[in-house]
Amino acid sequence: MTPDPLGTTVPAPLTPDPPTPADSWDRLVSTALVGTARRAVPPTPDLPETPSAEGAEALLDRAALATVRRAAGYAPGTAEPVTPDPGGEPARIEGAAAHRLSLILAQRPGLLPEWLELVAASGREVDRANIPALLERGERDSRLRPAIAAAVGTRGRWLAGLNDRWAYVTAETLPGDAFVEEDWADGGPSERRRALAVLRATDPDAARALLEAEWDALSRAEWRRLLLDTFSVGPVPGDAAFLDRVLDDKAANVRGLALSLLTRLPGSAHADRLRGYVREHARLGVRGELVVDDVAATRTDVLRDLALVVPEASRSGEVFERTWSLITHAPLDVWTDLFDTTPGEVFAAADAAREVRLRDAFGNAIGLQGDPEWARAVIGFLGQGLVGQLADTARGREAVHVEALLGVLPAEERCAAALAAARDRSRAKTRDADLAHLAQAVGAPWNRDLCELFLDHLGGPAPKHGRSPSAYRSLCDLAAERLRPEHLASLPEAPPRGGAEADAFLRLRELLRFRLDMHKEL
Amino acid sequence: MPGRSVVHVSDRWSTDDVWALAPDPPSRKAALKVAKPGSWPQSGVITDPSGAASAVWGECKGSGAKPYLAAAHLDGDGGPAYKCSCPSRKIPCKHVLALLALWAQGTVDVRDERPEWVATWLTGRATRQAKAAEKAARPVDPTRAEATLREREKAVAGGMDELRLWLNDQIDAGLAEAPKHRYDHWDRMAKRLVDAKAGGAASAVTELPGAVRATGWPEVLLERLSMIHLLVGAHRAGDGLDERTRGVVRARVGITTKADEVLADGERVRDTWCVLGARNTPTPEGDMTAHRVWLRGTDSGRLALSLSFARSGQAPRTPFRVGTEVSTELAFYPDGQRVVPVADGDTRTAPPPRGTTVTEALDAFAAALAVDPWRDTWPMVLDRAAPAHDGDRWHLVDPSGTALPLVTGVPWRLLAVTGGHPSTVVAEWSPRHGLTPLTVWDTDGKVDAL
Repeated sequence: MTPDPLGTTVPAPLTPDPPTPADSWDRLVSTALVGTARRAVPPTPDLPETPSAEGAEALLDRAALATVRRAAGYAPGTAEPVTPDPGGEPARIEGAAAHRLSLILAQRPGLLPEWLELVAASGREVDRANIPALLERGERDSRLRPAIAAAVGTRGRWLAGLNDRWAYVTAETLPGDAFVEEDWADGGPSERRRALAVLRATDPDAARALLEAEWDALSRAEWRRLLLDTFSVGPVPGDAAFLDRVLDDKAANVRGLALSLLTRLPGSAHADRLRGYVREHARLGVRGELVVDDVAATRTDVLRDLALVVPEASRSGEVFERTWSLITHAPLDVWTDLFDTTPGEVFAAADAAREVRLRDAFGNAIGLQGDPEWARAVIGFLGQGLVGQLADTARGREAVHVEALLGVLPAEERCAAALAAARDRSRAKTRDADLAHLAQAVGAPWNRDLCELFLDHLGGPAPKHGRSPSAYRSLCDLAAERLRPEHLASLPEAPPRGGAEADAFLRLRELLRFRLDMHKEL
Repeated sequence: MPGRSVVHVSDRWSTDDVWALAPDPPSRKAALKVAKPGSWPQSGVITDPSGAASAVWGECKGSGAKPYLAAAHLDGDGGPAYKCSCPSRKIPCKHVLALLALWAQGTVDVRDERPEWVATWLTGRATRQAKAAEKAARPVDPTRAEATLREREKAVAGGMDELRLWLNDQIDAGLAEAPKHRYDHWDRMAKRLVDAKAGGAASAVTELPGAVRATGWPEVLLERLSMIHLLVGAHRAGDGLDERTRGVVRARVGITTKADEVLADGERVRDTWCVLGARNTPTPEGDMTAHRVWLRGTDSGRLALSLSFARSGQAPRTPFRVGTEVSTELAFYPDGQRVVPVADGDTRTAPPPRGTTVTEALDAFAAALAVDPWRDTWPMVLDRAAPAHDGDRWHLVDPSGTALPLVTGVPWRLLAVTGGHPSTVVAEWSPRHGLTPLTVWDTDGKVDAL
């Protein structure tokens, strides 16, 4: 049972409103407690005559009569019905598709995002009976909230109005939403967020002006973060000055959010200051290697611009953390300008420094700043070492974050890079593991060639070298989500390998079949 | 939730059909692990003369030295039956599910030879079914049956007499010491009643220690004792009672009437029966699930209760699906309420049933108490009922504003389906605990089992 949001606990048994005068019943109870051996049965003038006149039987007769009279004479109360949902009658999914949603909610929550996407594409809403379970899922998984808010429709928002824990539904914007002044002026935190996000989509500068005017009055850091988060969809150049101010916020997570937004505005004064810090600290060493001097703890200007706290006592880890943060957030163009060279050469210089963390910081910067030119250069530099980096990451060693690099590239290019790496046969000894790592790192979606590669591997015989049941299993699990369901037809019916690998293979087939049905229904 | 109707197709099932048999999701997951041909060195399909599958069997490699022997009999009377040598108490177990899944995928072949254990099981089933059919067809020796019955009545009467004295003793001595009594104080009386073949009265006594633990226990305990006392008195009154009440009393004391007796002698009513609502509750012993289905005759207005039992974790079988109506003849038990269907009826989707106000429903309940004062569940079909909240608990309220409280916390599903709009709602009423909504028809007339 869902806990009651209205604060009532499990209801106490009803206290009936007895038509029998309470005192008569009370006398019977107290006599029963003492015992009829010691006390005479009390008179009960309000009850009809009963067969026995005295003793235990008379008491039980009368108690039974009172009990039945009470049950039969239950007096109902009155209550005001809830204000009903004024919403219309939108198209809803029904039948098999509704049943499948119940199955997914109960047994396969991993498929929920895909299912919600299909429902959104079909322009329909979920069946009403499933709304409470779906809203409950959104309580636990905030990433699903926008999709859930859209899928549950007006009925879901009405229902969420009865439960505080489902208020997130009203914080999400929906297609076709218009800015409502009153929601911003008088609404609760989630309504304000929604109003701001709606305005932000059409007039980002006006939205910023509203938030800026209100900013100092927002006493709770959580509210400031919630509202500032609406800037995440495309910060605009005009935001820079305001965000720069927010870097002085009291709360660390608000400062961090402001910094990550500023990092996406390379034309800002803040970006220029970071470029300046890089020029102060970076140079090439005698071997042509990149040297980045430690950022001193006394440089409060740098620390402030990187949203870092001033350290009390320096520890070696913290010193590098400052360098890492500087490389991550400074616009990448400063490096090519400074050394008048290409991204590939800069990365080569970082590699030559024999400080893995320096190299990895560049990988991180590229991923965060989403720079495809740099990503291409680094992937080119790594060449056949790409898979090795993935293996190191999987083992928890310091390595370039290849997944982030690939994530920056367009889908086709990403898949082509993964395919090229997979075709490198020099690492036959770790075949299963390498493919599992690549499958993970390349992200979704997979193009046709990549699907075929994985299908061949999953459905083919185990490799002579490099067989790993655990890696095969993770590849199966990933493929179950990322292959297109039609690919079921390309897999053999019987598992090509035995033991635990056969289980994984059958699970893969089962999940693809489930998804195939799911796509047919919606 | 209505149980899935019995699969009669003896063609090969789909995998979905197989998974629908799983008693719970974990069983299904476990079955998936065993559902690979490699785990089944021996398996086969036995066909009937027409070539349709009649049984599937297989030997599954387990962790021990001996394989688990699993089989499913698909076309026996009374639906599919399963057997497995594993210790699992779930029916069907993961091995049977896995075997059927493999069969559904087409990886179990038809084989003419069958191992001895399969042959023994199938022959045993056939013999038992034939015996049962023969017994049903054979007229019972009337003198002997009557003697058995008399003996039983005598035993029950003896037990009830003792119960009467025991109840009087409790009241004479006073209930103040009741919380200090140990279980065997109550248990001795309950066991005596079981020996006297008065299982229903025994259950009522077994529930007394629970009443002692309740808040306001003196009142609850006196209520329960007085209702058992009423049952003893009613049993003694015997033929002096109205016929239906006598049926109720005998059923509540624990004198069971067999379904075939009901089919042979019971009152029969032919009507279009609207399936109002269904509910699963654990039996007092906790090891079984009772599945209650409430029906109402469209022409006669007669209420009927179909009751079926299943082991916990198994879906009870019932021919009735909520939201449909069935044209059929029902045979009533002597209590005038419990029924068995005489034949399979013609089932179709039904419009929302006609409902009443809260006051009318309470009147009907009071009238039902006149026949069966021990009753604590009663179906109500409420017309234009809307969810309401009074700041403390949730209610259902009719258009006049008259409200009955709900047992559950927040009726989320009812709220989601109706959006708070007045709808036809079927609920079970208990004056002690409140309303439990069972079924709702939304504004489009679409049914939802809650």
